[in-house]
Amino acid sequence: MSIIKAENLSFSYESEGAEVKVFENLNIDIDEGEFVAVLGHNGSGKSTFAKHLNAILTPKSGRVTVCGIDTADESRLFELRKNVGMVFQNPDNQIVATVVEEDVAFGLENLGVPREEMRRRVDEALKVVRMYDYRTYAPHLLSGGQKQRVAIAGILAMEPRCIVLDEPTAMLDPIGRDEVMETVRRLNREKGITIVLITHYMDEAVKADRCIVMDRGKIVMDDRPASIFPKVEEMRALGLDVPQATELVWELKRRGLNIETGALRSAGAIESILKMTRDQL
Amino acid sequence: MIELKNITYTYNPGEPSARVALNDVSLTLADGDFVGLIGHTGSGKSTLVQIIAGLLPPLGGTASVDGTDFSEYKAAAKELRKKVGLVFQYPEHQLFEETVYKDIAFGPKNQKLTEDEIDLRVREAARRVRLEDGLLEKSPFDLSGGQKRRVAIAGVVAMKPEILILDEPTAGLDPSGRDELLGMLKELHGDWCKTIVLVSHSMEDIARAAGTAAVMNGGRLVMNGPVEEIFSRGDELRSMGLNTPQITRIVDGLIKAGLPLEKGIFTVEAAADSIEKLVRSKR
Repeated sequence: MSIIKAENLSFSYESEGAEVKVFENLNIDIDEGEFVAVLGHNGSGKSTFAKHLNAILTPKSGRVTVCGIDTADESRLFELRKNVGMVFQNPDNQIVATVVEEDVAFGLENLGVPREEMRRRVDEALKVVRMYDYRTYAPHLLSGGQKQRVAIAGILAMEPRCIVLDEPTAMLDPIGRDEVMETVRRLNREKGITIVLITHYMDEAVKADRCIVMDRGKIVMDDRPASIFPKVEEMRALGLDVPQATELVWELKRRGLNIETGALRSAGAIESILKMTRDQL
Repeated sequence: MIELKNITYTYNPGEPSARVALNDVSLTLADGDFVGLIGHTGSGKSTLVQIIAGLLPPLGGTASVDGTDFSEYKAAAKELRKKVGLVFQYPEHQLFEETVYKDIAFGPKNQKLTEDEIDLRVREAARRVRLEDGLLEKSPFDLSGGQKRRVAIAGVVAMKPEILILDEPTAGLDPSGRDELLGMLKELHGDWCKTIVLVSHSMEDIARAAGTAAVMNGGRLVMNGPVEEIFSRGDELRSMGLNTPQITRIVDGLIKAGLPLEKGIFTVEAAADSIEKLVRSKR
C-alpha cells in the first residue's frame, strides 16, 4: 500500500529574475512500512522533495499525496502534519520548551489532546527513544544525539505513520549518530512507521530497505542498497560515496583478484576477503 | 610553534554546576603539523581550541609562542590571536557583508594592510578555496551552501594565519564537497599556513588529511601521535565512544582471522595494497 505518492511533481524558484528548476515531473511511490534513504549531492533536490512531504513546500505543478491527503489541500494541513513528522539537522532549532517532557508534549497541546492521554503518550514516546530517565531535564544539558531523540519523541507522541528525517545526524558525534540511527531503525521495524531518511552518510543508507539516488532533480537510481553501492564508478560520478567495505572489495576485483564484490558492511568485506584467500591456498 | 603546558579550565568554577572542561592538557603545535583533533561531544576539544586561538583564558597552565614563554596568558593571547585563525562550526552563518569580496576582505582590513595588499589577499584566498573570480562581486547569500562555507573559510585564510584551526569544516557537506574541502586544506598546508588543526568527528576525514591525531576524552589529552599509531588502538578508541575508520576495522578483523597484515592501516588504497601483496605472494 502506497503511503507517499509524488506524481509529475515539479518545483522551481526564482533567483535574480531567472527561474531555477529544482525538479520536473518527478514520480516517487513509497509503500507503508518502507525505510527509504534518499541520496544525492548538495543541490540535487532531495531536501526540497522532503519538504513537500508535509507541505512546508507545495507543488508548483503535479501532486503529492501522503497518507491519502493531498498536500496542497490546506483544509487538511493539520491532519497531514499529525501523520508526517519531520526531523531536521540542527537539534537546537527544534526544541522549544525548557523541560524535556514539556517539549515532547508541545505538539499534543496544540492538538488539544486530553491531559491523561497526553501523559500516557509523552511517557511512551520518551520510553521508545530511551530518554524517559531524562524527562525532567533541561534540554540544553543533553548531548546532540539525546536532543535529536527528544525531537523524535515529540513527533512520536503525535502517533504519525511516517517520519521524514533531513540529515538528522550531520551535527552529531559517532555515539550520537548511532543512537539516532538505532532509534530510527527500531521505529521502522517495531512500529512499522515509514521512514524517509535524507543523508550524506553511506553507512546509514546501507541500513535502509531501499535507496533513491537523485541527481539534478531526477531519480537516477532506485533499488536495494546491495544493488546500488557496488556500482562504485557510477556513484562517484554522481558525487557520492560508497562504504569503504564496498570500495575495498571493488578495488581488489579491479586489480584482477578473484573476489566476490557487493559487500556493504565490514563483516561482509572480511568474509569475501577470507574466502578469496582460502580459495587461493 | 605553540606550546601549551598543563592547561586547566573549569566552567562555572566554585558553583554547584562547575564542570571541568580541561584537566592538565599539554600540547605542542609545531610548524608543518597537520593535526586531527578528535573527541566526542563534551570531551573538551572546543574549549582547547579557543585557548589555542587566544580567545579564552585558562585557569591554570602556561603558553609559549615561538620559544618565548609567557607566564601570563593575557600576554600570550595577543600573540596567539596574531598567529591563529579559527574557523568555527557552520561558519557560513556568520557571513554578513554585501559582497563576497567585502566579506573576505574584512579580516585583512582589520590587520591594517594597504588596499593593494588586501586586494591580493582576497583574490589569493578566493583562489585557494576554489571560488571562481566571478563570484567575488555577488552577495554571499545568493551562493550555494558549499560555496558559502568556502567564502567563510576564505575570510580566515585571507589573514594568512600561521596556524589554521577548523572546527568540523565538513559537517553537512556531500561526499564530493567534503573531498574538495579536504583537498583544499592539504594544498593550503605548508605553503600558506604552516600548521593546520582539523577538529572532526569523522575518522575517515582525519585519515584522509591529517598526519597526526590528538584524542581528547573527559577533559584530558589521552592520545597524541601519528595517525597510523592512533588508529591501531581501535579498542581504546571505542571505549571512549570513538571509532576507527571502517577500513581499519576491516583490516583488524582480517588480522584477528589470522591474515598477516599490518595494523594501523587507514586508507582503502593501503588496505588493497597489502591484501593484494599477500594474495599474490601465496600464488
